[in-house]
Amino acid sequence: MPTRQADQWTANPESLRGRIAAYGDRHGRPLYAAFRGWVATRPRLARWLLAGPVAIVAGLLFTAAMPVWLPAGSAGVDGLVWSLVLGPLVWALALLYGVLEANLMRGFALFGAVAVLSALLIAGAML
Amino acid sequence: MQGNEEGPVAEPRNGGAAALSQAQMKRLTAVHGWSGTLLGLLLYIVVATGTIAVFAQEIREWSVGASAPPGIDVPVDAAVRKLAAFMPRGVLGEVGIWRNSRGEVVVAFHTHATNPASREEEDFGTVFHLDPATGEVVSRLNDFYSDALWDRDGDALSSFLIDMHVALYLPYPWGYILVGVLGLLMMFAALSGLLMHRHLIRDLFVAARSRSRLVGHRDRHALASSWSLPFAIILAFTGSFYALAFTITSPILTEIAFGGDEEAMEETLWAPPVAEDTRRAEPADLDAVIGRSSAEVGGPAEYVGISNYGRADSRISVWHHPPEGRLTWVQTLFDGVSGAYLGPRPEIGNAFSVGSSLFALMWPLHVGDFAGVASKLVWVGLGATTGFVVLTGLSLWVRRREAEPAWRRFGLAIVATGYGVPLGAVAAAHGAFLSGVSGDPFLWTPISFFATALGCYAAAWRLGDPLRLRHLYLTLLAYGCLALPIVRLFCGGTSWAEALRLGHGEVIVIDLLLFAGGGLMLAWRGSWLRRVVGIEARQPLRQPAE
Repeated sequence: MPTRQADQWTANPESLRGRIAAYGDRHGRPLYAAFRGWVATRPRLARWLLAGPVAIVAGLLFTAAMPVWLPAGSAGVDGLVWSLVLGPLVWALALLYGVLEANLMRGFALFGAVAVLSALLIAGAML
Repeated sequence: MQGNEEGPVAEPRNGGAAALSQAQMKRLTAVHGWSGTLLGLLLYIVVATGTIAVFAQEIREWSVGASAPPGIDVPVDAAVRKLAAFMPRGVLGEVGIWRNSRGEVVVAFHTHATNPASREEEDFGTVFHLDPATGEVVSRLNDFYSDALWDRDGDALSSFLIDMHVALYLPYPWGYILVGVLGLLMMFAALSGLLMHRHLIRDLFVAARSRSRLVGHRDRHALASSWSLPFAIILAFTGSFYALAFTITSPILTEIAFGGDEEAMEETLWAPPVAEDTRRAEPADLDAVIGRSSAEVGGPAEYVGISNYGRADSRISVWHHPPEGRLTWVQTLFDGVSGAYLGPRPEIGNAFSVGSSLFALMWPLHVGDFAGVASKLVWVGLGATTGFVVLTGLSLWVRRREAEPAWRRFGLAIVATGYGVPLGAVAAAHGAFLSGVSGDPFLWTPISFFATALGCYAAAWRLGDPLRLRHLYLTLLAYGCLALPIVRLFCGGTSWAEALRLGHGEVIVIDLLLFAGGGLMLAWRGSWLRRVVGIEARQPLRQPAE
């Protein structure tokens, strides 16, 4: 059976990737398991959070980061304009997705990824 | 299964469109219904006042008894020079010129000053109203920017209707934010309605069925929402943009892109590009600039904005209504000293781009003023349909729960709000005319509206019978409409003969529409009109609302 590329990367426990993998095993997996368990026991509350504050925060961060990664256009202000104009549409779609997503963990993962990436872009632009 | 609470797909929807499972449909229906129930009445007020406000300009002209002047078609250069000579240099940074609904030329000098009330730096205006024929100053106002400063340029009635629509008459920014949230709700409801609607295409043509089959609230809600769905999405999208762009999004973007420097953001988005040069210079001839701009665009100038009047780096922006064949406003740019034409300029930014085109489209898409009265009528029709969809949606929600007294009372509130907004608008018009004789219309117009709305709720509480309530409201609305032209005339409004002589057609048209509307409502109430259109005169008493 062929070894997966990721396994090869993390095979050496002394390497940086190996240490990150080991850290993830010690802290990340239990945290993920605990959150997954919490979502499973309180799906209704998790849904309210996903389609409410989580969707709003992720939508706001996504909108705020738009001028950073969108092209400025010939006027040099397109990134700002698209963000101004499309903001409410993004928020409405985020709320709709939060209500519709069948897999709550996938919803949290997607919103989390969007929020973290957007926050990194914003931090990079402000620093 | 952890985190996955959905079952298999039940059946394909909308002819193969993305299918929803039963659990997703159940959630969507719950959120669609509950969000509508919690905020639907406020959303209806925003939609209904917005529908009326589409004709705000015509209402303003009818109210003051004068047609809007065809832009800045009188000489203004000499008057502006004379005023600017006596103004401190600090207030010449931004000068605006336009004509108000009374035909006066307005010259507004804008600056910033510390407001002693808030102890913060705020916009401060010195506003002159000039006689268009002589250029003499009719009145002068000095104040921090507020509604009161600009009220003088409008009329109490249309100003109030617009304030209700854009901010529910709440202070800035909270009113805008609430209306923006309602816009998001409307967008969510429209998008979720699109997903929930199983037979969207078929329901578009349900009107082709015989009238006897068009029964029940669900059919009416489905029919109206099917036709108004694209329009509702456009209205919600553009409306929430106007409500939230400058209250929520813009402050966030200012922090991120400009480190919180509002002035830098404003200059980037709105100011014409020019290197700073503070030397004094003789200003360009404004009349020549306006004439050249009108010739370039092919229509009269509506607004002139001057930056740094009397300085070497001065720029003049001239705005025009959308000319023939265009959807959006046109802006031209001139050198403020030489008067040289520098070319057309986008509404936002300094070069035409996809972003500036999208931004410019927001206004005509929201208000429908791109093809004169015809496009406005379409917007009014679709706006009224959207208001009907909100009311029938609420009604459907209540009908499923009408066994409970609390929901029956909510049903009465739906009837009271449904009729209360148009009744309040008519009462506000009466208040505006009557207080115009010897009072303050800007005070009594909102009081008349809110007192009437409260009266509607009190009557609903007292009577408790939806059928009797509708009868009462319809009677009041009918007589209110019929009396309005008479009250307008009695309070010194423009007579039909004078309107004909001066060419103010909107005075006569709106009076006639009010007479016709009042008459039709009386005929409807008297049941013969309902027999003509094939709807039963009497309906079961246990119908909370329609």
